[in-house]
Amino acid sequence: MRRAHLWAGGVGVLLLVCAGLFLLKAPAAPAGEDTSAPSVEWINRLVREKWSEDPDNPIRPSPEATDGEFIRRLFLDVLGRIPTAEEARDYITSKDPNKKINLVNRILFEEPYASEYASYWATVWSDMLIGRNPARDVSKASLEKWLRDAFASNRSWKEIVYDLITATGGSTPESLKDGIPFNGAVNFLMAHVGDRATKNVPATSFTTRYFLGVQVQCTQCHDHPFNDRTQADFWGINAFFQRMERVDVTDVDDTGRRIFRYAILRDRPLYGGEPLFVLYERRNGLMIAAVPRFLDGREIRESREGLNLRKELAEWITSADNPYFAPAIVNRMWGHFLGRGIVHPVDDLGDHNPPSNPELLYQLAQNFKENGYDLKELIRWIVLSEPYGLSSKTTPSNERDDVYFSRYLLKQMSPDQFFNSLMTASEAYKTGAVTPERAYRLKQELKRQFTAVFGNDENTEADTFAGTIPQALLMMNGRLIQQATSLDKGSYLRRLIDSHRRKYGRSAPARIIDELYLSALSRFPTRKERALALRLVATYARRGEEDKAYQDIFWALLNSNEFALIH
Amino acid sequence: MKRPISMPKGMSRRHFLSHLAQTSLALPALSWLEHMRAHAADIQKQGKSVILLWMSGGPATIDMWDLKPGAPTGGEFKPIQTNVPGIQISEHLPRIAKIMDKLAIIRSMSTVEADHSRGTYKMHTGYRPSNSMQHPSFGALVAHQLGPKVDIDLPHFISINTPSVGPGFLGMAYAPFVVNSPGRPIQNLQLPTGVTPLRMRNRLGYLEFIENRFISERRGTAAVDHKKVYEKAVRLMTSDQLDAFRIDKEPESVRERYGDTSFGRGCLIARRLVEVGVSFVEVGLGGWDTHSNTFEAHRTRLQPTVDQAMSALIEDLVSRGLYEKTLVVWMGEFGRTPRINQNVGRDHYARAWSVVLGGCGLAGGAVIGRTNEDGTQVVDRPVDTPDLIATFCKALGIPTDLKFMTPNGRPYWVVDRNSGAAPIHELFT
Repeated sequence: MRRAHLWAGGVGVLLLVCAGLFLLKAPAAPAGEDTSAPSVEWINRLVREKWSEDPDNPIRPSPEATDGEFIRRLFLDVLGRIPTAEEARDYITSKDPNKKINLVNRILFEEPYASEYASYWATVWSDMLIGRNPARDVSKASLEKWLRDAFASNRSWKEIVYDLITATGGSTPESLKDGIPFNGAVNFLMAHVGDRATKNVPATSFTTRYFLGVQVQCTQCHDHPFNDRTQADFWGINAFFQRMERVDVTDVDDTGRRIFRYAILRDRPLYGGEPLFVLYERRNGLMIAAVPRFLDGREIRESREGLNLRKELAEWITSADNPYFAPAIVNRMWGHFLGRGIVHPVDDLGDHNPPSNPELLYQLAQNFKENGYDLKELIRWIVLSEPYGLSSKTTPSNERDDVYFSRYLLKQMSPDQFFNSLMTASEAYKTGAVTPERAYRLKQELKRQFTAVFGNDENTEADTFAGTIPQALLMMNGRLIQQATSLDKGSYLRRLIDSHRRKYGRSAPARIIDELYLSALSRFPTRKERALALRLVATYARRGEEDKAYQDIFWALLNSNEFALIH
Repeated sequence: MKRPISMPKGMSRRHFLSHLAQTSLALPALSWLEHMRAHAADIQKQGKSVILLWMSGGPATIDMWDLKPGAPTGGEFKPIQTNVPGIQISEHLPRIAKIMDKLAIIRSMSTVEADHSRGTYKMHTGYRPSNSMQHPSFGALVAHQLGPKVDIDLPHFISINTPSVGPGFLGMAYAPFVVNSPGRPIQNLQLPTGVTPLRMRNRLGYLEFIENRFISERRGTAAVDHKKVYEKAVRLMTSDQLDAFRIDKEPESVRERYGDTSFGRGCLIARRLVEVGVSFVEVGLGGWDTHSNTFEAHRTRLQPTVDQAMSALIEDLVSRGLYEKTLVVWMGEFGRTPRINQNVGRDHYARAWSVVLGGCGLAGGAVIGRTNEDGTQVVDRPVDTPDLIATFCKALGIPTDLKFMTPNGRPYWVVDRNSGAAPIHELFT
């Protein structure tokens, strides 16, 4: 059985190479033409094989998700927000047999979606790379801008990572005034330089964790008890950062206080014959010298003129032979979309933590490499695959399966997704109720409220936006929900109610209710729901307060589990 | 504070409840309020409770509870005599030294995990992080086990100044209620302007209808937990017990005894919460990750903060008759290296360190286990986290062989069955 799988895998690679060559020549995804079909077929086959692995107890997958469910999860996962009522209605009512692939292509490649895509992923990655609330002397805005440009032009993952690891220059546009090139990418490593005692320790663990999907931070102090990594591995990578330095550029104000302007990240040049090591302390107190060493054991012992250690590291990390680089990103992306990595947790690759479907991980990584590390193409494969299109409703045979992707696993929203969805449902931007600048501040405030930082030197963040009591209180009574359900002039509800009354007269209530459901839940109400809502409207109307009924219904929709969960 | 934080504007709890309880012509009965109506009578205060003082970052216990004067690893502090003959602790813990007879020191913790997040997970759950199971933190477990016996409006797992560790497979209904600014009112408890209790009742009624429909589609426990969390939030909105968070109701002299620190305020609130009947309160104190200048941090900030708040807490619990039913535990995710590094710091060390505990009938004035002369090894009676969890369970009356099935059908034992763990019997005399 095992051998048969491997053989199938080998043929797969050949087929995928061909598919890859074809794709490289193809222009960016013309609408309607399904260039992703061969890869999607492979994913489906490998996933299905796991479902039937135990012939006595085959897993029957959940049925296909409805159109409303699909567009909602797709928008949340790709753009970081729910679809508008109009977008949901158009998709649900469309009779086009190719509507799924057309929708996927549209939101990845056409404006305004392509820009939204770039913004959302810039936030996702900057939150991961430097945290939600980095130190004040790190410019999150500049890193986000750099990432946004990279995702907007769909630069290859290989190039993005290479540039992040080797970045030099000024951290904000302020540096241009002094003739120093501005490079937002420097803010990644700048955030992780550490102090004298922890020199480049965070840089080492962030680089390996996010780009290679391996955890070496525990080995900073001691050999890892359960996997094969050692303290020497950690310090071998750390030694590649030994020439990196951060220089703060400051002004002095009238009162003599130092004002931070920007920082420069650069490498002190190397010449021949210089020692190439960092010192670290074994637990027994012995000081050990570590030379730059890749995780495969190769070392750089000799210094030479023009040697740039960060470039050496970046080249090894992003090289086609690196066994971690491609699997790390495809696994992370799979986890983002399917709710669980093929290796789980997504950043703990290694022999001690085997993937639930090794062939799938291998094929995805291989295919990704052969397609030029193209992130949008990878997203197309995943979202068009069978497992991504399944319902989240369990069947008796799959309710206990959470590793073989036989149903779509419920996911909690990130603070970003939640905020953006609330703004979308209440048309906050369209109505001008919230300006983009104000939205940015509100969002930061929300993230602060729901992000707890552990009190240690590694700044680990706990994303507690997962349905807690304070979150429920905020959603029931807080300012955000009051704005979203406002009946004031110019608000979403006011405009909706007034325009529908003018247009539809007596049948307005039912139409308004439909619209509220589409806005909040991306679906039409069921018959029972519509009847109950109409009864509530009638009760309020008798007291001359009909509008308040819509307000209460919209409040309930926005507070519901169906709104808060990605399903 | 102009308004009492416990009630919607200008309205008594009873008034609000009576509105919420009205049946509307349009909507089905509101099931999640039945609980509230049933319970309007006096609350029961019989249950046992836990207060966990969580030292985030990993405290250098060698400089607090297990000093090594004279050894090269001994550091800068002198030991002082406590009120228990033969037990000495740090000179910067003078108040605790006077109540040492109420506490036991375990000097032989040996726990393997020396990474912050892994150590935090292990010390909260009794298990190593695993890819196949999300273990509940002990706070969630206590809320699950002891909470139902004490019917109160407040959540049974409250965490102050620290996110703690999540509820694992027990689900969000047992997640810690996290309080980040002890002493400040809890946010968003009041109904928005223009929303009457009657309208709130309609909102909740319609919400329940939508929630139930989504739950009935069997999409997973997160959908069910969402509703449970809302039930708890609604209950909290209408509760007088929120007064427990108001330390301005305490005399100035009491607040002073706990110290004007966030940790001190947290400990005072913990006492007030236990008085109401909350099962598990965690109070965090950060800043223990002293890779450099450890002695200065301990002398000027860390130890004085702990000494003041922890001693005041225990004295109060004793004088109010609560100590017999309240387990107090002081611990972090690991200890720190006996060896002092080049930055006058100590690094992560899980092989030999100390935990302090007392109350709930445990023997006071006891020392469990022993480390060697320089503190690098446990030489007598090693204790691992599962032993500690077993000890907590026994003190609280939770069976140490308690077993659950997780929602995806895996067995889970409260005390790791493969660890050979047992309660520390010396503490039960």
